[in-house]
Amino acid sequence: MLRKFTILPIVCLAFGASLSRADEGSDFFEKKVRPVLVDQCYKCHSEAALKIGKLKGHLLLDTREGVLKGGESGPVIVPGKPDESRLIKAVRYADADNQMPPKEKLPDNVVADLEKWVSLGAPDPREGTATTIATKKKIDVQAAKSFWSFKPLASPQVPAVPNGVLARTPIDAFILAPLLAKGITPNPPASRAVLVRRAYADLLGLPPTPAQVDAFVNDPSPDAWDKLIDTLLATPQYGERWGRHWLDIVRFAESNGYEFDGDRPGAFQYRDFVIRALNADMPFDQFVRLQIAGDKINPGDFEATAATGFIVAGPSPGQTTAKTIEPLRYDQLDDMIATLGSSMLGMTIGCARCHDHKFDPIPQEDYYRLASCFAQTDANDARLDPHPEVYREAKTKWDAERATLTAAWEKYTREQATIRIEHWKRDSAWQAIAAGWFGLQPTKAVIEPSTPLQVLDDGSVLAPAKDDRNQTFILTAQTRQKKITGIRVDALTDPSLPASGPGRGKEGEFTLTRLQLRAQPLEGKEAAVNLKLKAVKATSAAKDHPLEAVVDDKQNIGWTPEEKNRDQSAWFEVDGNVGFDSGTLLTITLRFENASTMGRCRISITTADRPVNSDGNWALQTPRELSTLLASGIDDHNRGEIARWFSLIDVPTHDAYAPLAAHLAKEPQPPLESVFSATNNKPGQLVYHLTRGETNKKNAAAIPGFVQVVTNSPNRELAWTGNPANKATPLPDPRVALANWITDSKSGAGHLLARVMVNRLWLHHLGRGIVTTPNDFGTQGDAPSHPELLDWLAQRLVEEQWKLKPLHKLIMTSAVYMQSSQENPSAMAVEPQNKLWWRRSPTRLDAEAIRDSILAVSGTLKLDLFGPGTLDESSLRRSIYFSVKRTRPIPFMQLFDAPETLQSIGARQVTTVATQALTLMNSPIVRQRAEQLARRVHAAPGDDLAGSIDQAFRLAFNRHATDAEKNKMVQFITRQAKTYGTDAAATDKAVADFCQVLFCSNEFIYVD
Amino acid sequence: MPMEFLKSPDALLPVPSRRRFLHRMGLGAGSIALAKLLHDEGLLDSTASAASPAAISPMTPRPPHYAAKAKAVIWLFMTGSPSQVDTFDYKPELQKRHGQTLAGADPKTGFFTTSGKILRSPFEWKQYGQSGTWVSDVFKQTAKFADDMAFVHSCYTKANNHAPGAFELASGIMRPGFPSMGAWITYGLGSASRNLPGFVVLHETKPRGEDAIWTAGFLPKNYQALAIDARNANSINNLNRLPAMNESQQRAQLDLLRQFNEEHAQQRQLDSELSARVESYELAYRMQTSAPEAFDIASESDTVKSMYGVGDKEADPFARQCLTARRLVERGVRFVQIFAGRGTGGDGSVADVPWDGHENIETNHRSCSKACDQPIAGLLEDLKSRGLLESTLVIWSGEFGRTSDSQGSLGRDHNPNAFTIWMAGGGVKGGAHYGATDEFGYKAVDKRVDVHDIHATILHLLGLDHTKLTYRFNGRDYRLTDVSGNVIREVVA
Repeated sequence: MLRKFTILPIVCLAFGASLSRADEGSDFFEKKVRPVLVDQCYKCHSEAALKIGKLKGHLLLDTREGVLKGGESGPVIVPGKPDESRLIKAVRYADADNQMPPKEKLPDNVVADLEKWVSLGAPDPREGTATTIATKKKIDVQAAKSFWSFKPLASPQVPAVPNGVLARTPIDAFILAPLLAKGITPNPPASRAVLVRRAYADLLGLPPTPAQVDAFVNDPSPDAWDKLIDTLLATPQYGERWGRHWLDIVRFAESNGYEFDGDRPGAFQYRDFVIRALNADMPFDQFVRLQIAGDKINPGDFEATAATGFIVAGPSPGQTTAKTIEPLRYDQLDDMIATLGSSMLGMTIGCARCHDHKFDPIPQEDYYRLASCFAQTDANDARLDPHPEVYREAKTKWDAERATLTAAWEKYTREQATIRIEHWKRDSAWQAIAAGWFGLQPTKAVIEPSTPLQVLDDGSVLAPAKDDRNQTFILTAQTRQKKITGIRVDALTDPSLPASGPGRGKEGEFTLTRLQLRAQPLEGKEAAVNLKLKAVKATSAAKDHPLEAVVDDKQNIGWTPEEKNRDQSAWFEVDGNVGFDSGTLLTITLRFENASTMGRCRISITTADRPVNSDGNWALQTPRELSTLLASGIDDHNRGEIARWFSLIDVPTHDAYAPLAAHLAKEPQPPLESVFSATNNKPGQLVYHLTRGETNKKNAAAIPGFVQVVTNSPNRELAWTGNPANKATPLPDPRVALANWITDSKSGAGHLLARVMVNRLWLHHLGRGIVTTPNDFGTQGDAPSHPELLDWLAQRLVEEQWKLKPLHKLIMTSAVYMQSSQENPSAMAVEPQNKLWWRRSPTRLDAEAIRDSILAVSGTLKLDLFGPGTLDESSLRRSIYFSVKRTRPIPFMQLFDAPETLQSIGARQVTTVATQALTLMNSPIVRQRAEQLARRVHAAPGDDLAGSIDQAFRLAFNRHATDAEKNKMVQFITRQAKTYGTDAAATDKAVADFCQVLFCSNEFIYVD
Repeated sequence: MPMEFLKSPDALLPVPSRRRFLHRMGLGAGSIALAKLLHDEGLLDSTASAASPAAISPMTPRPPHYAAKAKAVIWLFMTGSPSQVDTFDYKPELQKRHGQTLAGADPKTGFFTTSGKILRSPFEWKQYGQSGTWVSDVFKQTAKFADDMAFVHSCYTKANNHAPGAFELASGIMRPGFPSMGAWITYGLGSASRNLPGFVVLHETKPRGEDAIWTAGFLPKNYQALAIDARNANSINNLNRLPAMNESQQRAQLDLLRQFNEEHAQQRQLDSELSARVESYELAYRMQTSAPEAFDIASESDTVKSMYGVGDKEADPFARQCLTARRLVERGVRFVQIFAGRGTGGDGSVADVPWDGHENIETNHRSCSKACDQPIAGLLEDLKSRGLLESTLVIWSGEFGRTSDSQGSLGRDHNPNAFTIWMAGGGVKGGAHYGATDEFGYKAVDKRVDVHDIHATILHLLGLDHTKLTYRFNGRDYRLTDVSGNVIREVVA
């Protein structure tokens, strides 16, 4: 130290002028740079960080080599050029995407030091080699196609089965081979009594009645089992049972979730579509196609539109702000394609949102290209007729009758009306009428949307007396008048109204919050106009509710007359000269927002010069309209219109028109229902490739495309999407293309679709899938226990034109399905986990089946199909008809593992929690059912108790009670009855106690 | 770790169907110790001969990944979101520059549009404790425990509206459907109570987002919350025996049921869940007595009750919930989440988001203060005096923060860019302050903390490594902290 001290000044003195830049640089590095790197950067950018897995961005800053090599985004410094060095940009915090250190900016003097260091050429004395970090391998899609689930369907040979072994179907040959290889003999078939319970639970989710049990057990025919399966598959409750499985997979719900969880009244139509499709055995590929693109494949079709409820069933926020609208949009897209992936392909596509899929061969590109198939898609409440053929038939009939009546009326107008009009013209004093205001004769008057208002003789309309607030009246009327300058609204008293009106409020009050006037030509192409109104005068107005409030933009404030229970009028001036040459259709809208409405009102117009005033006589418009029309004489063109006006004032003409009028009023209307469904209402909207899934990091717009690893077509997706480069042919809708690709078992994803679906069938029939991860057929999922069987079944599905019912039957007629659950010590020793299916494992009924069975056994179940659901837990309908409201799950369903409705659920969990027990023990609803069952089996006090017990066993367990059981139950009931007293009701209660125990028992909620 | 676990007789799996067992118990292959152990085929097969009826339940307490002080959590959720700059994040610059333009203000930060003009805090601020922590008089009673509390001032969220914010705070993700922290922790640690559920939510008017906030998501339903509406006397569904039946009548019923089920199970010994279900009835029977006792605060002394503010006109509802929370934690409940209920009115506050001071921050927060301050102080004092604070982690948060500029002239809008949370007890470093917002409290600038960091820290305090607490669902090992999260060591004692 001392030596150094003594020498250094000399050196400096001697060589001060030519001190090597490198030394100066190293010195600067040691003093100013290294400490910063160590303190601020090494934590994430050093060999040490690499060792503990904390290395970020593949960047090592603890050696010179590492600094120069740079990270995954390339070099971080350009020696001598700080402005071009990423490292300097990062510490400057100039760019929002690239700020280091991430938590806070370095002090300015430190940043300046680093800049200087780079300016100096980034001198760095540090030695050592930097580990080269392999940049992530790009996914090799072609190579990945050899993974079992992505491969085309094999056509496996059905294994030979040795003689003397029970194989009922080819399925059994696949199952038996591995069992026999291990020396295991599978269980024999279960008894018929067990089988019938199993089949009903499996296909219908309901227990058989004693009569149904007897019918099967005593059926001597050799194909009794086949017949039973056919019968059950043809029962409507099959669609409800298996439809519920599908609803789990598609995160079905009927509300938005998020803020306020708004309801989706038409969302149940999707549930009904699923039930109907399954009952009709709609081919599964069609079932899938309609769900993805039904609105495009079959536009306007009720079922096809309802099917697209699949796409939009996910949650959507009730409130968005400018900042969240785009992230939420991408979240919705994610919901759509993640659900599509899990439900139909058993692929976790959602994992490729932020980066290439970590485990499966799904590049991030595939994610955004798939998402872009839904770029223009949004939820929508379609209004459609479920039975258009019924409407069409009625309409055709009605049209024919109308033609006849119209012909008669036209004949009258030509032959008689014309003469009568001429007479009237001569005789009447119509020309003398010079009223200032003309009362309109409404051609249509409704309370929005379609409740009719009664039209009275003076042209006024009358509402029902009941005070329904917050309504809108819509009136239409025709006129030949031109230069309409004013409109007048009369609110009239009427004896039918509360306190005689003129409003429908308790004291006859009303508040008109908005008045709108729209004019459109009766013929021709001139545009309709919304007319600006100016308040002129009201007969009376309360202080805070002036007439002006009717025509300003503010909602909820309007005109309320000060005086009550007297006729009121309000006058408005109309902007512009309204009136078309072809005649004018006026639409008058009166809004009564959050207020009582008028009870009886009348609209009049004027053509007097401005300024419009309240003076002038009032008369109905009819003579005036006739006068206007007749001014140019009667011809074929205006004869009909003139005769119609005339029919209002001439009795014979009125009578001649009456049959047609009556018929017109009966025009059949299609019974439109609301269908919550998908539509393309975001034209021009694009989906962008996003870096790390962040919406503020947009790259190029994504072109619709599919998952490459399950596409086996020479030009990737072009076979389905068409070629965007070829401008001559219009491209199919991307959703239609997707629907066709996903169901194409030759070169699209149909092979995977089929595998995933047959596995779901197997899962629900056998309690566990051949692939135990039904929503994940990727590398993170489990491999199939019987791959050949899976492919063989998938092939069969395709061969059966994708019909599911033949597959159900195939599986259910197999020996493996029919085997008993008995235990077998030698098989246990070899294959304890029963992965190979040598026995049947008892299965707990799911939430719906438990509740439905309780209802069925107690004799209270209502089997009405379809329609809106309910949240009422005491409903007697099947549980699938509970409304699925995201924030209000039905407690009973929730307790017994009904799934969350936010993501696809492939297999429900089965939990055992004490609250389930509490519900079965203490719920008044369960207790009521127990009492109903008690009454069902023990109707009269004199009934034989043992017989009642046996009947209850037969209903609940589908078997007779043994003598020992009967004795025990009689004892229980007798003992329990004593604790309730001595009257007949005591026994009833005791029988109910016994019946409730049946509901609680494992034998009831498990099926062998 | 796995070997230690194996020593517990409860962990021996007598039933051979591993996959089925895991599935039934809801322990996916990515789960913690137990699942890892069971995943090992060799171990399992060697135990196959030790066939005794299963006593294991998914709620059986499980050891954490490493030793930790916190055994239970009480999360005080200030629904509606209190303003950081009016409670625990003191910003004198706001007073000085009241009415001036807030540089860099984005009027579209929150739900409405803000003025861009600085709004001073209308509250009085004082320093408390050895730590000299500044607290406004909104929490003047709670502030007495400042030295027990660790503050994180630099929190931010992605969400800027109530329901998404509540989802983000609860599950780390601003979409509904992901398991909430209470479910994750109960899944990780089981429940120390045999007679009560592991995860209890206490609410009044349900917060916006409702049941979806405390969902167990894709975790097994064992971990779903028992949600108690403080306004209902019998708020646990079906807890009470039917009125027409007395105890011995029900006991006779259950005895009969037991015989039924045991006979049934005897013929199906391979299926362990059958016997688990037999047990569940006995537990339910016990719960009928134990649960009402746990929720009944009548037996508490008047001193304790008044400490919380029970009986106080404004504080009573929240006071009862806080006191109930203590009773639950005392009885082994793992996770209690309390949602601040209705404001006390007269201030435009909305029942499902009481702290939402859009129109007038002063009247809103004064009113909420009356409802919450004393109960929180009482809870901390009570836990402390009983020695429970050491093992109970108390968390205080809203959904996000509020703007430093005004909405209208007196209110504050939502602000996802800055808010303060505090934690107390359970191994937290008292008096610590971590991170900072800018001089106006508008944006977190120093040591920014996102929700995943908060979650990682909470799990750490409970002895859980957030990267190892995983559950496989639809092909992915999910975590509460998704793919990020850093433990804030500076707030750990």
